[in-house]
Amino acid sequence: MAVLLLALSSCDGLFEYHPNQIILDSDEKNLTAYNLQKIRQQQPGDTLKLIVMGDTQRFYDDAQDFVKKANGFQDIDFVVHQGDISDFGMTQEFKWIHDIMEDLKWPYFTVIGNHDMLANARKVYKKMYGDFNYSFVYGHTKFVFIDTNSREYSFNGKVPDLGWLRGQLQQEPGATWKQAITISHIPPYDGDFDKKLELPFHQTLKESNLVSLSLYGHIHRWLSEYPYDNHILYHATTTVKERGFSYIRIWEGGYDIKRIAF
Amino acid sequence: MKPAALFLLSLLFYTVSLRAYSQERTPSPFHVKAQFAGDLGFLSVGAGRSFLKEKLETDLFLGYLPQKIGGDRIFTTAIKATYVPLRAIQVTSLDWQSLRTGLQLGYTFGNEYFAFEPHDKYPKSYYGFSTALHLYYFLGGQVDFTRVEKLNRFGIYYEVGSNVEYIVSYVQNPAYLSPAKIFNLALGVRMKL
Repeated sequence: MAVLLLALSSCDGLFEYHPNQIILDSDEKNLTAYNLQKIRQQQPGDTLKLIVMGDTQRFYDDAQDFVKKANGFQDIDFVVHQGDISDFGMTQEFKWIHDIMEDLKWPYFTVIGNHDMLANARKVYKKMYGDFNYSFVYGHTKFVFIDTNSREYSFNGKVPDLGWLRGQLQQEPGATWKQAITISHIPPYDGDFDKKLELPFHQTLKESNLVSLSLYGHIHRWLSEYPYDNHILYHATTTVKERGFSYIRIWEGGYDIKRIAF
Repeated sequence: MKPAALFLLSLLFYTVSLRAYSQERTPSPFHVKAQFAGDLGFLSVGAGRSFLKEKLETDLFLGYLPQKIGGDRIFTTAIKATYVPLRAIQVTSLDWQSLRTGLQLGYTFGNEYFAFEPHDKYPKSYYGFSTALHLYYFLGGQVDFTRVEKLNRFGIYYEVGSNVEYIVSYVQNPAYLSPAKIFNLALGVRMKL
Protein backbone atom coordinates (compact mmCIF):
# COMPACT_ATOMS: atom_id res chain seq x y z
CA MET A 1 0.00 0.00 0.00
CA ALA A 2 2.71 2.48 1.02
CA VAL A 3 4.77 1.58 -2.04
CA LEU A 4 1.74 2.08 -4.27
CA LEU A 5 1.09 5.53 -2.77
CA LEU A 6 4.71 6.55 -3.20
CA ALA A 7 4.62 5.39 -6.80
CA LEU A 8 1.45 7.40 -7.38
CA SER A 9 2.90 10.47 -5.68
CA SER A 10 5.55 10.67 -8.39
CA CYS A 11 2.84 11.16 -11.04
CA ASP A 12 3.22 14.94 -11.16
CA GLY A 13 0.10 16.77 -12.28
CA LEU A 14 -2.23 13.78 -12.16
CA PHE A 15 -2.98 14.17 -8.48
CA GLU A 16 -3.45 17.26 -6.36
CA TYR A 17 -3.06 16.78 -2.63
CA HIS A 18 -4.15 20.27 -1.70
CA PRO A 19 -4.66 23.59 -3.51
CA ASN A 20 -1.99 25.05 -1.22
CA GLN A 21 0.60 22.32 -1.78
CA ILE A 22 3.90 23.84 -2.94
CA ILE A 23 5.22 21.36 -5.45
CA LEU A 24 7.34 23.06 -8.09
CA ASP A 25 9.28 21.88 -11.10
CA SER A 26 12.97 22.77 -11.23
CA ASP A 27 12.27 25.49 -13.83
CA GLU A 28 9.69 27.07 -11.50
CA LYS A 29 12.14 27.88 -8.71
CA ASN A 30 14.32 30.93 -7.94
CA LEU A 31 13.11 32.75 -11.04
CA THR A 32 14.40 36.15 -9.93
CA ALA A 33 17.94 34.80 -9.66
CA TYR A 34 17.52 32.89 -12.93
CA ASN A 35 16.31 35.98 -14.83
CA LEU A 36 19.05 38.12 -13.25
CA GLN A 37 21.57 35.71 -14.66
CA LYS A 38 19.93 36.09 -18.04
CA ILE A 39 20.06 39.91 -18.10
CA ARG A 40 23.68 39.82 -16.93
CA GLN A 41 24.43 38.34 -20.34
CA GLN A 42 22.65 41.20 -22.13
CA GLN A 43 24.42 44.41 -23.11
CA PRO A 44 22.38 47.40 -21.89
CA GLY A 45 22.22 50.25 -24.42
CA ASP A 46 21.94 54.00 -23.79
CA THR A 47 18.17 53.69 -23.91
CA LEU A 48 16.62 50.87 -21.91
CA LYS A 49 13.30 49.47 -23.08
CA LEU A 50 10.89 47.90 -20.62
CA ILE A 51 7.44 46.41 -20.84
CA VAL A 52 5.48 46.83 -17.60
CA MET A 53 2.26 44.94 -16.86
CA GLY A 54 0.53 43.41 -13.88
CA ASP A 55 -2.40 42.11 -11.84
CA THR A 56 -2.79 38.95 -13.89
CA GLN A 57 -4.84 37.39 -11.06
CA ARG A 58 -7.07 34.75 -12.68
CA PHE A 59 -7.07 36.23 -16.21
CA TYR A 60 -5.01 33.71 -18.11
CA ASP A 61 -6.48 34.25 -21.58
CA ASP A 62 -5.75 37.99 -21.34
CA ALA A 63 -2.25 37.20 -20.06
CA GLN A 64 -1.66 34.99 -23.10
CA ASP A 65 -2.81 37.79 -25.41
CA PHE A 66 -0.47 40.15 -23.58
CA VAL A 67 2.48 37.86 -24.25
CA LYS A 68 1.55 37.67 -27.94
CA LYS A 69 1.36 41.46 -28.22
CA ALA A 70 4.54 42.04 -26.17
CA ASN A 71 6.51 39.59 -28.28
CA GLY A 72 5.80 41.78 -31.32
CA PHE A 73 8.00 44.53 -29.83
CA GLN A 74 11.69 44.83 -30.68
CA ASP A 75 14.73 44.91 -28.39
CA ILE A 76 13.02 44.88 -25.01
CA ASP A 77 15.49 44.61 -22.14
CA PHE A 78 13.09 42.98 -19.69
CA VAL A 79 9.45 42.76 -18.65
CA VAL A 80 8.09 43.74 -15.23
CA HIS A 81 5.05 42.10 -13.57
CA GLN A 82 3.64 44.58 -11.04
CA GLY A 83 2.29 41.92 -8.65
CA ASP A 84 -0.94 40.06 -7.95
CA ILE A 85 0.42 37.22 -10.01
CA SER A 86 -2.24 35.03 -8.40
CA ASP A 87 -5.80 35.68 -7.29
CA PHE A 88 -6.50 33.15 -4.50
CA GLY A 89 -2.89 32.65 -3.39
CA MET A 90 -2.86 29.07 -4.71
CA THR A 91 0.35 27.57 -6.08
CA GLN A 92 -1.29 26.35 -9.28
CA GLU A 93 -2.14 29.96 -10.22
CA PHE A 94 1.53 30.99 -9.98
CA LYS A 95 2.47 27.97 -12.08
CA TRP A 96 -0.05 28.80 -14.78
CA ILE A 97 1.07 32.46 -14.96
CA HIS A 98 4.71 31.43 -15.15
CA ASP A 99 3.83 28.94 -17.89
CA ILE A 100 2.37 31.88 -19.87
CA MET A 101 5.08 34.45 -19.01
CA GLU A 102 7.83 31.99 -19.86
CA ASP A 103 6.79 32.38 -23.53
CA LEU A 104 8.02 35.99 -23.46
CA LYS A 105 11.11 36.58 -25.56
CA TRP A 106 12.72 38.40 -22.62
CA PRO A 107 13.39 37.80 -18.93
CA TYR A 108 10.67 38.99 -16.56
CA PHE A 109 10.84 40.29 -13.00
CA THR A 110 8.06 40.43 -10.44
CA VAL A 111 7.17 42.34 -7.31
CA ILE A 112 4.89 40.70 -4.76
CA GLY A 113 1.24 41.82 -4.65
CA ASN A 114 -1.26 41.57 -1.81
CA HIS A 115 -3.05 38.59 -3.41
CA ASP A 116 0.33 36.84 -3.53
CA MET A 117 0.35 36.95 0.29
CA LEU A 118 -2.93 35.10 0.83
CA ALA A 119 -3.03 31.60 2.31
CA ASN A 120 0.57 30.27 2.21
CA ALA A 121 1.42 32.19 -0.97
CA ARG A 122 4.30 34.10 0.69
CA LYS A 123 6.11 30.75 0.81
CA VAL A 124 5.15 30.09 -2.82
CA TYR A 125 6.49 33.50 -3.94
CA LYS A 126 9.69 33.02 -1.97
CA LYS A 127 10.36 29.62 -3.52
CA MET A 128 9.31 30.53 -7.04
CA TYR A 129 10.74 34.03 -7.32
CA GLY A 130 12.81 34.94 -4.27
CA ASP A 131 13.06 37.93 -1.93
CA PHE A 132 10.18 40.40 -1.56
CA ASN A 133 12.65 43.32 -1.62
CA TYR A 134 15.49 43.18 -4.14
CA SER A 135 17.35 45.36 -6.59
CA PHE A 136 19.74 45.21 -9.49
CA VAL A 137 21.75 47.61 -11.61
CA TYR A 138 21.21 47.47 -15.34
CA GLY A 139 23.21 49.95 -17.38
CA HIS A 140 22.85 53.46 -15.99
CA THR A 141 19.82 52.62 -13.85
CA LYS A 142 19.22 50.78 -10.61
CA PHE A 143 15.87 49.00 -10.35
CA VAL A 144 14.55 48.67 -6.80
CA PHE A 145 11.66 46.24 -6.20
CA ILE A 146 10.00 46.81 -2.84
CA ASP A 147 7.05 45.18 -1.06
CA THR A 148 4.45 47.86 -0.26
CA ASN A 149 1.58 45.55 0.73
CA SER A 150 1.20 47.20 4.16
CA ARG A 151 -2.37 45.98 4.80
CA GLU A 152 -1.22 42.35 4.61
CA TYR A 153 1.09 43.13 7.56
CA SER A 154 -1.81 44.81 9.44
CA PHE A 155 -0.07 48.20 8.99
CA ASN A 156 2.71 47.25 11.41
CA GLY A 157 4.80 50.26 10.42
CA LYS A 158 7.57 48.11 8.90
CA VAL A 159 6.25 47.71 5.35
CA PRO A 160 7.51 49.18 3.11
CA ASP A 161 10.94 48.85 4.71
CA LEU A 162 12.20 52.42 4.40
CA GLY A 163 15.57 51.63 6.02
CA TRP A 164 16.25 49.07 3.31
CA LEU A 165 15.01 51.45 0.62
CA ARG A 166 17.27 54.27 1.87
CA GLY A 167 20.23 51.90 1.74
CA GLN A 168 19.39 50.85 -1.80
CA LEU A 169 19.21 54.48 -2.93
CA GLN A 170 22.71 55.31 -1.71
CA GLN A 171 25.33 55.26 -4.40
CA GLU A 172 28.27 53.19 -3.26
CA PRO A 173 31.74 54.61 -4.12
CA GLY A 174 32.50 53.92 -7.77
CA ALA A 175 28.86 53.17 -8.58
CA THR A 176 28.15 52.96 -12.29
CA TRP A 177 24.44 53.75 -12.00
CA LYS A 178 23.22 57.32 -12.24
CA GLN A 179 19.51 57.00 -11.35
CA ALA A 180 16.99 54.64 -9.79
CA ILE A 181 13.45 53.49 -10.52
CA THR A 182 11.35 51.89 -7.79
CA ILE A 183 8.79 49.19 -8.55
CA SER A 184 5.99 48.20 -6.14
CA HIS A 185 2.50 46.79 -6.16
CA ILE A 186 0.52 49.27 -4.02
CA PRO A 187 1.03 53.01 -4.65
CA PRO A 188 1.64 55.19 -1.56
CA TYR A 189 -1.57 57.22 -2.01
CA ASP A 190 -3.69 54.04 -1.83
CA GLY A 191 -5.67 53.02 1.29
CA ASP A 192 -3.80 49.69 1.41
CA PHE A 193 -0.45 51.49 1.88
CA ASP A 194 0.53 52.35 5.46
CA LYS A 195 -0.63 55.96 5.97
CA LYS A 196 2.15 56.57 8.51
CA LEU A 197 4.72 55.74 5.84
CA GLU A 198 3.18 57.50 2.85
CA LEU A 199 5.06 60.79 3.10
CA PRO A 200 8.23 59.25 4.58
CA PHE A 201 8.27 56.93 1.53
CA HIS A 202 8.10 59.87 -0.85
CA GLN A 203 10.70 61.74 1.20
CA THR A 204 13.04 58.76 0.95
CA LEU A 205 12.76 58.75 -2.83
CA LYS A 206 13.10 62.51 -3.05
CA GLU A 207 16.06 62.88 -0.70
CA SER A 208 18.03 60.35 -2.69
CA ASN A 209 17.97 62.75 -5.65
CA LEU A 210 18.19 59.69 -7.85
CA VAL A 211 14.54 58.80 -8.41
CA SER A 212 12.24 60.52 -10.88
CA LEU A 213 9.98 57.58 -11.71
CA SER A 214 8.17 55.15 -9.43
CA LEU A 215 6.04 52.28 -10.83
CA TYR A 216 2.88 50.60 -9.48
CA GLY A 217 0.00 48.21 -10.17
CA HIS A 218 -2.91 47.30 -7.88
CA ILE A 219 -5.43 50.03 -8.79
CA HIS A 220 -6.56 48.32 -12.01
CA ARG A 221 -6.54 51.53 -14.06
CA TRP A 222 -4.10 53.95 -15.57
CA LEU A 223 -2.85 56.76 -13.35
CA SER A 224 0.21 58.93 -13.97
CA GLU A 225 0.60 61.83 -11.62
CA TYR A 226 2.85 63.89 -9.40
CA PRO A 227 0.88 63.56 -6.15
CA TYR A 228 3.44 65.17 -3.82
CA ASP A 229 5.60 67.60 -5.80
CA ASN A 230 6.92 68.12 -9.30
CA HIS A 231 9.87 65.77 -8.98
CA ILE A 232 8.69 62.19 -9.00
CA LEU A 233 6.15 60.67 -11.38
CA TYR A 234 4.05 57.92 -9.79
CA HIS A 235 2.95 55.79 -12.70
CA ALA A 236 0.35 53.02 -12.25
CA THR A 237 -0.18 50.54 -15.07
CA THR A 238 -3.64 49.10 -15.63
CA THR A 239 -4.34 45.36 -15.36
CA VAL A 240 -3.92 42.72 -18.01
CA LYS A 241 -7.70 42.19 -17.73
CA GLU A 242 -8.18 45.78 -18.97
CA ARG A 243 -5.86 44.79 -21.78
CA GLY A 244 -3.21 47.42 -21.36
CA PHE A 245 0.49 47.64 -20.50
CA SER A 246 3.22 50.29 -20.37
CA TYR A 247 6.09 50.54 -22.80
CA ILE A 248 8.79 52.55 -21.06
CA ARG A 249 12.03 53.88 -22.51
CA ILE A 250 14.65 55.05 -20.05
CA TRP A 251 17.77 57.05 -20.77
CA GLU A 252 20.17 58.90 -18.52
CA GLY A 253 18.18 61.75 -17.01
CA GLY A 254 14.86 60.93 -18.61
CA TYR A 255 12.16 58.52 -19.63
CA ASP A 256 9.14 58.18 -21.86
CA ILE A 257 5.99 56.14 -21.17
CA LYS A 258 3.51 54.86 -23.73
CA ARG A 259 0.21 53.20 -22.84
CA ILE A 260 -0.27 50.19 -25.10
CA ALA A 261 -3.64 48.49 -25.66
CA PHE A 262 -4.04 44.92 -26.91
CA MET B 1 -3.95 18.79 15.17
CA LYS B 2 -1.97 15.59 15.79
CA PRO B 3 -4.01 14.52 18.85
CA ALA B 4 -7.22 15.09 16.87
CA ALA B 5 -5.98 12.85 14.07
CA LEU B 6 -4.95 10.15 16.53
CA PHE B 7 -8.32 10.35 18.25
CA LEU B 8 -10.20 9.91 14.98
CA LEU B 9 -7.97 7.02 13.94
CA SER B 10 -8.33 5.19 17.26
CA LEU B 11 -12.10 5.74 17.12
CA LEU B 12 -12.15 4.14 13.68
CA PHE B 13 -10.10 1.13 14.78
CA TYR B 14 -12.25 0.75 17.89
CA THR B 15 -15.43 0.63 15.79
CA VAL B 16 -13.81 -1.76 13.33
CA SER B 17 -12.64 -4.16 16.06
CA LEU B 18 -16.11 -4.17 17.66
CA ARG B 19 -17.60 -5.23 14.36
CA ALA B 20 -14.99 -7.95 13.92
CA TYR B 21 -15.96 -9.66 17.15
CA SER B 22 -19.69 -9.65 16.49
CA GLN B 23 -21.16 -12.37 14.35
CA GLU B 24 -24.47 -10.79 13.38
CA ARG B 25 -24.88 -10.07 9.70
CA THR B 26 -27.24 -7.09 9.66
CA PRO B 27 -25.78 -4.63 7.16
CA SER B 28 -24.58 -1.47 8.84
CA PRO B 29 -25.09 1.90 7.16
CA PHE B 30 -21.70 3.02 8.50
CA HIS B 31 -18.35 2.88 6.77
CA VAL B 32 -14.80 4.13 7.01
CA LYS B 33 -12.61 5.38 4.17
CA ALA B 34 -8.99 6.14 3.43
CA GLN B 35 -8.21 8.44 0.52
CA PHE B 36 -5.17 9.44 -1.47
CA ALA B 37 -5.08 13.05 -2.87
CA GLY B 38 -8.30 14.87 -3.83
CA ASP B 39 -7.50 18.21 -2.08
CA LEU B 40 -7.65 16.46 1.32
CA GLY B 41 -3.91 15.99 1.73
CA PHE B 42 -1.58 13.17 0.80
CA LEU B 43 -3.63 10.79 2.91
CA SER B 44 -6.96 11.27 4.61
CA VAL B 45 -9.25 9.11 6.69
CA GLY B 46 -12.98 9.46 6.83
CA ALA B 47 -16.01 8.01 8.53
CA GLY B 48 -19.58 8.26 7.44
CA ARG B 49 -22.81 6.53 6.58
CA SER B 50 -25.12 5.94 3.67
CA PHE B 51 -28.77 6.90 3.32
CA LEU B 52 -31.66 6.22 0.96
CA LYS B 53 -30.69 2.65 0.06
CA GLU B 54 -27.05 3.67 -0.45
CA LYS B 55 -27.95 6.37 -2.94
CA LEU B 56 -26.42 9.04 -0.71
CA GLU B 57 -23.27 8.95 1.36
CA THR B 58 -21.95 11.54 3.77
CA ASP B 59 -18.47 11.52 5.26
CA LEU B 60 -16.29 13.47 7.59
CA PHE B 61 -12.62 13.45 6.57
CA LEU B 62 -9.38 14.44 8.21
CA GLY B 63 -6.38 14.78 5.93
CA TYR B 64 -2.66 15.31 6.26
CA LEU B 65 -0.08 16.57 3.79
CA PRO B 66 3.52 16.19 5.00
CA GLN B 67 5.96 18.97 4.14
CA LYS B 68 8.30 16.49 2.48
CA ILE B 69 5.70 15.56 -0.09
CA GLY B 70 3.65 18.75 -0.36
CA GLY B 71 6.23 21.49 0.19
CA ASP B 72 4.21 22.68 3.18
CA ARG B 73 2.65 20.79 6.09
CA ILE B 74 -1.12 21.11 5.79
CA PHE B 75 -4.01 19.67 7.84
CA THR B 76 -7.43 19.62 6.27
CA THR B 77 -10.87 18.53 7.34
CA ALA B 78 -13.87 18.16 5.05
CA ILE B 79 -17.46 17.13 4.86
CA LYS B 80 -18.27 15.22 1.75
CA ALA B 81 -21.59 14.24 0.21
CA THR B 82 -21.72 11.67 -2.60
CA TYR B 83 -24.75 10.91 -4.74
CA VAL B 84 -25.01 7.48 -6.40
CA PRO B 85 -27.75 7.86 -9.00
CA LEU B 86 -27.35 4.54 -10.83
CA ARG B 87 -27.75 0.95 -9.68
CA ALA B 88 -24.49 -0.97 -9.40
CA ILE B 89 -23.54 -3.20 -12.34
CA GLN B 90 -22.58 -6.78 -11.47
CA VAL B 91 -19.27 -7.82 -12.98
CA THR B 92 -18.53 -11.43 -11.89
CA SER B 93 -17.98 -11.18 -8.14
CA LEU B 94 -17.73 -7.40 -8.19
CA ASP B 95 -20.29 -4.60 -8.10
CA TRP B 96 -19.42 -1.52 -10.12
CA GLN B 97 -20.99 1.82 -9.27
CA SER B 98 -20.40 3.50 -12.61
CA LEU B 99 -21.39 7.00 -11.49
CA ARG B 100 -20.75 8.74 -8.22
CA THR B 101 -20.77 12.51 -7.98
CA GLY B 102 -20.76 15.02 -5.20
CA LEU B 103 -19.40 17.99 -3.36
CA GLN B 104 -16.82 18.38 -0.66
CA LEU B 105 -16.38 21.37 1.60
CA GLY B 106 -12.84 21.47 2.90
CA TYR B 107 -11.38 23.53 5.69
CA THR B 108 -7.64 24.14 5.91
CA PHE B 109 -6.21 24.62 9.41
CA GLY B 110 -3.66 27.33 10.16
CA ASN B 111 -3.24 31.02 10.92
CA GLU B 112 -2.37 31.79 7.31
CA TYR B 113 -5.85 30.82 6.19
CA PHE B 114 -9.11 32.64 6.90
CA ALA B 115 -12.59 31.11 6.66
CA PHE B 116 -14.04 34.59 6.64
CA GLU B 117 -12.08 37.81 6.07
CA PRO B 118 -10.99 39.22 9.45
CA HIS B 119 -12.80 42.53 9.96
CA ASP B 120 -9.89 44.13 11.83
CA LYS B 121 -7.63 43.62 8.81
CA TYR B 122 -9.79 44.24 5.75
CA PRO B 123 -12.62 46.55 4.74
CA LYS B 124 -15.90 44.69 4.13
CA SER B 125 -15.73 42.15 1.24
CA TYR B 126 -12.20 43.20 0.35
CA TYR B 127 -11.33 39.89 -1.27
CA GLY B 128 -14.77 38.31 -1.35
CA PHE B 129 -13.55 34.73 -0.94
CA SER B 130 -12.27 32.39 1.72
CA THR B 131 -8.74 31.00 1.77
CA ALA B 132 -9.55 28.25 4.31
CA LEU B 133 -12.87 26.98 2.95
CA HIS B 134 -12.84 25.36 -0.48
CA LEU B 135 -15.76 23.76 -2.26
CA TYR B 136 -14.71 20.87 -4.45
CA TYR B 137 -16.75 19.08 -7.10
CA PHE B 138 -16.04 15.49 -8.10
CA LEU B 139 -17.20 12.74 -10.39
CA GLY B 140 -16.17 9.11 -10.18
CA GLY B 141 -17.03 5.49 -9.58
CA GLN B 142 -16.52 2.62 -7.19
CA VAL B 143 -15.82 -1.08 -7.40
CA ASP B 144 -17.14 -3.16 -4.47
CA PHE B 145 -15.76 -6.62 -3.75
CA THR B 146 -19.27 -7.71 -2.83
CA ARG B 147 -18.90 -11.43 -3.52
CA VAL B 148 -15.19 -11.80 -2.91
CA GLU B 149 -14.44 -13.84 0.19
CA LYS B 150 -12.87 -11.90 3.08
CA LEU B 151 -12.96 -8.68 1.04
CA ASN B 152 -16.72 -8.41 0.75
CA ARG B 153 -16.84 -5.33 2.95
CA PHE B 154 -14.31 -3.44 0.86
CA GLY B 155 -14.59 -1.26 -2.18
CA ILE B 156 -12.15 0.99 -4.05
CA TYR B 157 -13.20 4.30 -5.52
CA TYR B 158 -11.76 6.81 -7.97
CA GLU B 159 -12.72 10.42 -8.46
CA VAL B 160 -11.74 13.30 -10.70
CA GLY B 161 -12.35 16.59 -8.98
CA SER B 162 -11.63 20.29 -9.03
CA ASN B 163 -12.14 23.10 -6.58
CA VAL B 164 -14.55 25.89 -7.43
CA GLU B 165 -11.71 28.43 -7.80
CA TYR B 166 -10.25 26.40 -10.67
CA ILE B 167 -13.68 25.86 -12.23
CA VAL B 168 -14.42 29.60 -12.17
CA SER B 169 -10.98 30.23 -13.67
CA TYR B 170 -11.69 27.71 -16.44
CA VAL B 171 -15.07 29.25 -17.27
CA GLN B 172 -13.42 32.66 -17.58
CA ASN B 173 -10.38 31.38 -19.48
CA PRO B 174 -11.55 28.69 -21.89
CA ALA B 175 -8.59 29.26 -24.23
CA TYR B 176 -5.74 28.71 -21.76
CA LEU B 177 -7.39 26.40 -19.23
CA SER B 178 -9.03 23.06 -19.97
CA PRO B 179 -10.74 20.30 -17.96
CA ALA B 180 -7.45 18.37 -18.08
CA LYS B 181 -5.66 21.30 -16.41
CA ILE B 182 -8.15 21.80 -13.60
CA PHE B 183 -9.33 18.25 -12.77
CA ASN B 184 -7.19 15.90 -10.72
CA LEU B 185 -7.49 12.27 -9.71
CA ALA B 186 -8.15 10.89 -6.23
CA LEU B 187 -8.24 7.24 -5.11
CA GLY B 188 -9.72 5.67 -2.03
CA VAL B 189 -10.73 2.57 -0.14
CA ARG B 190 -14.10 2.15 1.57
CA MET B 191 -14.84 -0.42 4.22
CA LYS B 192 -18.38 -1.14 5.38
CA LEU B 193 -18.69 -1.61 9.11
